[in-house]
Amino acid sequence: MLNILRSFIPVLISLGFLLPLNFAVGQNAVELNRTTDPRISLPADTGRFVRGRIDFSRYISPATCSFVGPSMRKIIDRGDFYDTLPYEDVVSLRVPLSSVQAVESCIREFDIDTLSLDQLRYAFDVALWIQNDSLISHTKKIWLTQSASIRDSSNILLYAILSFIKSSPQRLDLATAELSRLDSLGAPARLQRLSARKQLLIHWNRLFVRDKIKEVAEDIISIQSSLEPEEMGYWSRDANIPFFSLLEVGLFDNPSGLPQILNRMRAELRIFGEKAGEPTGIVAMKFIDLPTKIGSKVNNIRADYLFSYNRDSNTSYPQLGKSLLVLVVSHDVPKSFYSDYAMIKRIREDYDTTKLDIVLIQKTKGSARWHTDGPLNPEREAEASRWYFQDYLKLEATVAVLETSFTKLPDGRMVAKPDESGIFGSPLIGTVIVDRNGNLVYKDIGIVRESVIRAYLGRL
Amino acid sequence: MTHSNFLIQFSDSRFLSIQECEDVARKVINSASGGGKAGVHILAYWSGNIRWSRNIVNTSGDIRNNHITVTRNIRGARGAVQLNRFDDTSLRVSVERAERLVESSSEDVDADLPIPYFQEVHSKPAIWSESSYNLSAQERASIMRRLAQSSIESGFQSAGYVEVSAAGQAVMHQDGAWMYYPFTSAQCSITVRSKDGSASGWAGIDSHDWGSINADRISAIALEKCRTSMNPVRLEPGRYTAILEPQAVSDFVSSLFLPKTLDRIRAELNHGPYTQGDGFSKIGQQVFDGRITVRTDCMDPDMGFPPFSYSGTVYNPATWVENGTLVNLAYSRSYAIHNLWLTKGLPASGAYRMSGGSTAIEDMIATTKRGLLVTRFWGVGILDEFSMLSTGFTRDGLWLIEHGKVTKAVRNFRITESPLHTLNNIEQLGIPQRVFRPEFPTIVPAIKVRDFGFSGLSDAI
Repeated sequence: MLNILRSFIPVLISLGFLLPLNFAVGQNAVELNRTTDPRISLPADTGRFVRGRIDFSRYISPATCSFVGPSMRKIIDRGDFYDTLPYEDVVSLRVPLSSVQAVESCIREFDIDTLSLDQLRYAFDVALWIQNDSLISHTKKIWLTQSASIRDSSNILLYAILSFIKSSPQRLDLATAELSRLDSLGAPARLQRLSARKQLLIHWNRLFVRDKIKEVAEDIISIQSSLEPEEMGYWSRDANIPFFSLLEVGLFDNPSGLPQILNRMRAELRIFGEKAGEPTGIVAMKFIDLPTKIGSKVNNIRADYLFSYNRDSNTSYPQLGKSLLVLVVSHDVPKSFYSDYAMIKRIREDYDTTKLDIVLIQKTKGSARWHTDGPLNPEREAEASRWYFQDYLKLEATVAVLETSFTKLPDGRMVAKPDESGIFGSPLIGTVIVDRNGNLVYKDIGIVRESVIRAYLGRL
Repeated sequence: MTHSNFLIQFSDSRFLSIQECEDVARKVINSASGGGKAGVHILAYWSGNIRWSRNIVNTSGDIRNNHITVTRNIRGARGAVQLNRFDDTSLRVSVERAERLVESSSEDVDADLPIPYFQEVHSKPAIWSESSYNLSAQERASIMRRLAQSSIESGFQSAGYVEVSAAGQAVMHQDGAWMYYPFTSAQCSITVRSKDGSASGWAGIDSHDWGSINADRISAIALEKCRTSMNPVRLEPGRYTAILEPQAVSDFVSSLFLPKTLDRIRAELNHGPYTQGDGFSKIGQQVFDGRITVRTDCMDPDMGFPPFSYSGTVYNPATWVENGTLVNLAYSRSYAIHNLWLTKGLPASGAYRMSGGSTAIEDMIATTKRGLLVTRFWGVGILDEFSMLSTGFTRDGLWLIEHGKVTKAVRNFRITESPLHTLNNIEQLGIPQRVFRPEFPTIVPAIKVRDFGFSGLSDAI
């Protein structure tokens, strides 16, 4: 029924977590049988480390359906925020399988031939969430027939591609097919072709699939060099993205080859900037001196408070004979630590404590989120961090806490002083991997990516 | 019944007593299952009112109701149900429904730690009034007849509203937090109009104590304002020196002291009038005329408001502006701990006292060569969140001042002006007095301000 679809839209605004007492749960509810329902033909959701799933399948009613929409949207937003890796057993944090069934039961009544343009897009989204390929195809077909120009068509195709890429690994083949259709629109769709490839590149970067990264990056470099000057202004901020990807792959494959990639990057971006009429930012500092550091010995980690996972206070890191993964953890745990937690658990399944040491480094902040009685001195805060990682989350990881120097701003806020010493002589952010001999293998100041860490650990 | 024994038990429960609230809350907490935390928020209230227009009563009401919110929080997934019944079945069902909502709500992985609810010690303002609680429907009707009578005798028509109420506000949380506070409130406002609809006068006030409200005086002021508003003349719009009576000051500048406006995080996120940009607020900077000080304190005997909110946030006393300098903005307890290394939050309740002068309105008029005297503003809306540029109308009494005297009534104006601009263009400040703002107790002075923007004519009266 169209009414149900319509009801999805306003609730994005009107429904928070609060629903009135007359929220119909029991009456009109449809009980889904997960094992026999023919609509459910998706791979099993093992739910490994995917806490925070929604399970709508027990209560299906119009009110529930209207609740599903915004909740799904929240998950998508959160998935984007956490930048969680899609894994085969989970459609991704963005679309937990357990909620798909409920959405599917809500959408099965839709008459999509009667939908408006906005509703079509929403129906397309929902079809994507529930992974209903025929509905995806049907919705997109109707949607495209209502587009009046190449620009409209290319934008719809771009939206479809971006949605496919974001939805799950299973949809990447559809994204690739749509990319071919987008390419067939030719020069007028150049910017859309670039945007689509940028998202594809981000996806492959997350998974660290090096062949794909190289292929898509070269495609982007080729297309962006053919842009008209007026298009270049729009794209100039993104022009260095393919080169960064090539640098990252180069760092893994052949660190000594980085200077050549950097030179190419400088040359091509200079030409791009001249044609675009505005300079293009080249920020690749982290790659410039890395080749000289890779392979060098690292010093032992020094921390103001060191809590070894095995309670041995004499252990120092790195330990000869064991690889070492160092992760710098934000002050704001548990906020934004969720994906790191899941990653550490997964890595520990493959690399136990005899093979790999994991050290979590945290700086003091003056408080801990679960201590609601007031601010903490460094000693208490360090103990609070140890409790959180080792006792509460039960991570087999050593916790190293560094005391922070604070400055009091005129408005009373306590802010950390910049600290350039950090660990191994670098600013205290990012990921570090050290091999069994105590040599630096990898250092990154970007977001923590499990695929990259696994790739490096895999060849140690 | 006195304030002290009120805390124990009501003799005639027009709303839930402390014991009744505790019983209700404990039933909810005890029926929660499945882990996590449960909370109960109760506002049980009674109010009696009378409303009249054209000298005739429209409505006379006696309302009793309960707002009960049951909250469940399991690993960050939240469910909340509101109800107004407190029988065992309703309470149990509300908990079950809150728990079902938890099931269909996403767990917040950022909040999966068992963070305890922290109860602060709150102040105990004297905001219970026997005269408010005991003002019966018959007395309200009698008051209305008396107030309308003076308008009838003068050949005018009056409209007005009198309300008294009493409430008990309670919060209980599974971690052991338990707070209850009873309070009363009263309000009286009157509009008097000429029968031809060409003149209007208004006056009003609110307090927790009906005994402190002089309704006859309110009526007399409204009548006098109407009488002197006859035969208004049209003036050219423009910038005039304006004397804003306390009600006009409250109507116009209160937007600067709303909880949302005073929110420190908002200011640090570059929103509102107190943002400095780049993640900083204007704390420490002079934002108003150097004579102005703005404070809030539920223990202020003229202000008095419940010491904690419906959600359980305790209102600590605060000075927002001291001698024109912004010294504080509102922040939560969490912000205090994590950013300031303090243990108490500084939430804004919306109530405030603005002080800084002692000039009588008569003296302001006497020292004005040409200007306008404003009773109040109506329909004030904010056009820009940074400058707080606002627009609205003058209403119910606007007069021209010439050579130190009020000379004639003036047709109303649309105003387009910023309260920030106004509070920086002050010539004189009066004695602060309580005005009519029932939702947030407010004490402000009259002010004389230069170059106030009267941007267009309005036919409203």
